[in-house]
Amino acid sequence: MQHSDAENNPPSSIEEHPGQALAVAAELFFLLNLVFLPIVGFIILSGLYLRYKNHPVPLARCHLRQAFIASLWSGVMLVLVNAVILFFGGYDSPAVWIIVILYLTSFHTAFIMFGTFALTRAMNGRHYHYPLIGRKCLG
Amino acid sequence: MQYKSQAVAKPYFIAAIALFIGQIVFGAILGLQYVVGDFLFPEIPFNVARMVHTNLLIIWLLFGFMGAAYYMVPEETETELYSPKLAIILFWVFLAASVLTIIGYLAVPYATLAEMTGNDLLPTMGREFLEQPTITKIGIVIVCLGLLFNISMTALKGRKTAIIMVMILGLWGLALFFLFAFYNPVNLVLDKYFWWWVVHMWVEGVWELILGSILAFVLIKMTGVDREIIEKWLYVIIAMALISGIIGTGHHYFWIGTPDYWQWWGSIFSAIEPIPFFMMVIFAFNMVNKRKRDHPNKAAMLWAIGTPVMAFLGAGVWGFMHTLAPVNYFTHGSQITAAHGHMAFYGAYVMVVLAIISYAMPILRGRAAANSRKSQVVEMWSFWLMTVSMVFITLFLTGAGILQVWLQRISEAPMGFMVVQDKIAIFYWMREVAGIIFLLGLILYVISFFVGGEEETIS
Repeated sequence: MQHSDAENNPPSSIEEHPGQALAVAAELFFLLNLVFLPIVGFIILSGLYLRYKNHPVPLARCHLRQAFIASLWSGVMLVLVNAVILFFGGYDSPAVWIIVILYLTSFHTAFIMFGTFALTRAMNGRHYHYPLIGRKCLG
Repeated sequence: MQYKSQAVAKPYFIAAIALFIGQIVFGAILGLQYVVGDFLFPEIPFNVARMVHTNLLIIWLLFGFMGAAYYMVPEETETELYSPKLAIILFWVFLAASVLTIIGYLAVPYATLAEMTGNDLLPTMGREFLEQPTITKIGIVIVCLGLLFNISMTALKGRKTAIIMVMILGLWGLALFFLFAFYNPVNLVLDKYFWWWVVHMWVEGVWELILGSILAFVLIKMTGVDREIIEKWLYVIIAMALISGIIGTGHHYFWIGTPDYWQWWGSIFSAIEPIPFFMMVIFAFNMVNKRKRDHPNKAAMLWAIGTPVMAFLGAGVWGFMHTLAPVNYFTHGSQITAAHGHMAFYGAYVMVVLAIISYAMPILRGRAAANSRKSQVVEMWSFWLMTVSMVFITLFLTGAGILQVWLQRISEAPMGFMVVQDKIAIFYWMREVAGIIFLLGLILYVISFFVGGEEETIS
């Protein structure tokens, strides 16, 4: 569903660049989902994405899409590995613990780091695409 | 160089790098002793190698901080140093005390050294990281007080910026908290309790102020971003560092005989300790994105933006990993702690000292802004070699720690400490390989100072 221009452009007096507030919000909720507000952060980010995915300003559109897709990937990586472990016999082995802790720490931290880079780009009105999982933003 | 007296920083930086090499050589020896127990025994026993490795780290970082202070203070206060002569005298005093102490560790059994240096009066034995003989500790206090006098007097007569106030506050804190190294109560709980007032309050308290101020200085110089913006970030970061770090000391009080409430205080406040490091990452990258100039010293910029990233990973993420009391109940004192210690020290303090050295040294050596492109390429290679190998050192030690905790503390048939050490040897071997690569990176770093070519200038 297309929204009117008024809906697509939430008013903001702190924006240095058009669409910046939405871009920052997207990356912020991506990070909050990973750190302080798991699931809640994702629900809010999803809401923003669904509402503003066709935003006329490329900056907002780019960050919303990037953050949403990266959130999905971070969830998939988490669920997938746990599913594989459960499938192959569960957690009752030191080798599994070594792999799980190193894997989760490394991947989770990588997502946080890339989210942070994305946030600083959004704060400066610049595009960002997540390595490997994000498509290049145009416009 | 804007002020002649900034030149006193140069010997401090050179000594810092020389002692850094010593620290890493002993780290490599130590790493090998984990798997070849009698390597270099009895010439360099494990406990001595460990003491030299950790003490050299502290000493060279102090040299780095002092050099940074002497370089930054004249430029920030816009006036010459109060007494360059005092700075040079203190340099030689500190260097002589440091070298003699290390020679003492290597030449005499520690028990004898302690006895010779007044252990009866002010005990130093059994005090990890604070093993320095009392005479050395007195030397450190004199050097710190001399430095504080010098830079405080300079700041009083010159411009007072937030960066320099934060640095002076950090250095005063460093000196004041070090005084607890002289307090060694007979009660073991109180002994440990106040021991952390030096160790924790340094690395998770006042040193963070020094780190923040050095990083802010380098970023102002390299990005050209307005001072007001950088100073606002600095205020918030150091406030968060102190809010979380001071009561966060409680994460060291979980199992030493202190009241139970420390498990709550320690867990909650240390859980927020990653926040200032996270803010530092945002701060640094934000400044780079806002930069108004393209500084030719790319190597220094790499160190400057690498610092918060690695500090966040090492101090923030790896610290959080084992800081909550229910987790720490199992992981306390395991190789997970060693993993955290390695990456946190490297990220937060080694890298920031190398950042200021990388920024200041070309200028101290008479160049306009930066070394030649060739020299910078070598230095950037050393950055990546050291940083990537440190990531692997941390990962291997974490693997060793997880297995150690499982076999020693979680499994239904717990094994003894030394039996488990044999079981985790593979991780120690891999750590040693990564350590050697780190050493190669450091050698490359030193070589970069001697690579010639046409110097880069500000365009």
